[in-house]
Amino acid sequence: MQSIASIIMILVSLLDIIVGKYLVNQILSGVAVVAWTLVLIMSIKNYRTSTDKKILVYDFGYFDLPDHLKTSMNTIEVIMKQISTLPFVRDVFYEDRKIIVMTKHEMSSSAIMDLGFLTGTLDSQERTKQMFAKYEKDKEILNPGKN
Amino acid sequence: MRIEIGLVEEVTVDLASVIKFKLEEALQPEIRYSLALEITRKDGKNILGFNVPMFEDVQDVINFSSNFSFLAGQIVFQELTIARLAPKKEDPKDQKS
Repeated sequence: MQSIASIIMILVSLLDIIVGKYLVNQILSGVAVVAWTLVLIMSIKNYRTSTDKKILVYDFGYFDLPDHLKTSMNTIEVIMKQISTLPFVRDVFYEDRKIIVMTKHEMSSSAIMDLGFLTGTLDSQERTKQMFAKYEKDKEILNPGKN
Repeated sequence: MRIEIGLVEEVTVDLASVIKFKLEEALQPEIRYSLALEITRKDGKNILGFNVPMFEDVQDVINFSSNFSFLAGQIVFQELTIARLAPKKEDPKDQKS
């Protein structure tokens, strides 16, 4: 340790001789500013991690659902986009057949249930839209130019 | 622990029983019975009540509730859409005229 300190002292003295005391001070304060910025960024990052709450909104593998209740990946993406617009949501992601939401604050179990209910409604809404779009397309194929 | 979900006013008593049936259909028998799904009326609104199965971990209770609400949300919307699309019954007064 002593040898490292001595080397640093020698380097600083050399720098001092070569470029002058003013510049050495400037460099040292620059280093300090960078170090403090890094410390600040790290503490904000830690704060965010400690306040973010991970909520499991729906596990697609949880129930043995009949085919008409199964959700496609395309629909899951649309649901996630809609959920991400909610004010308390920081992030939404899909992992291992589960929709997971990161919220900005802790939520009660009834609020988690409400979010689950809303997600289920969005799922059904999106699938209804897709079904109607397909119906309109089929109608056009069967009766071209009639619509 | 018993949980209750208030259904939107548009959900009639008939519709609520269809929702209950479809939800039960989506569940495995062992969960279905312990859940004791029930539709009741409170303050002019239909309420969907169910027991949360006993889990050792609290997180599992929350996960189950969230999953179940997801299914309920899906089915309620589906049934409402079907009801909205169904041809409205003609008013007997209109038939006379």
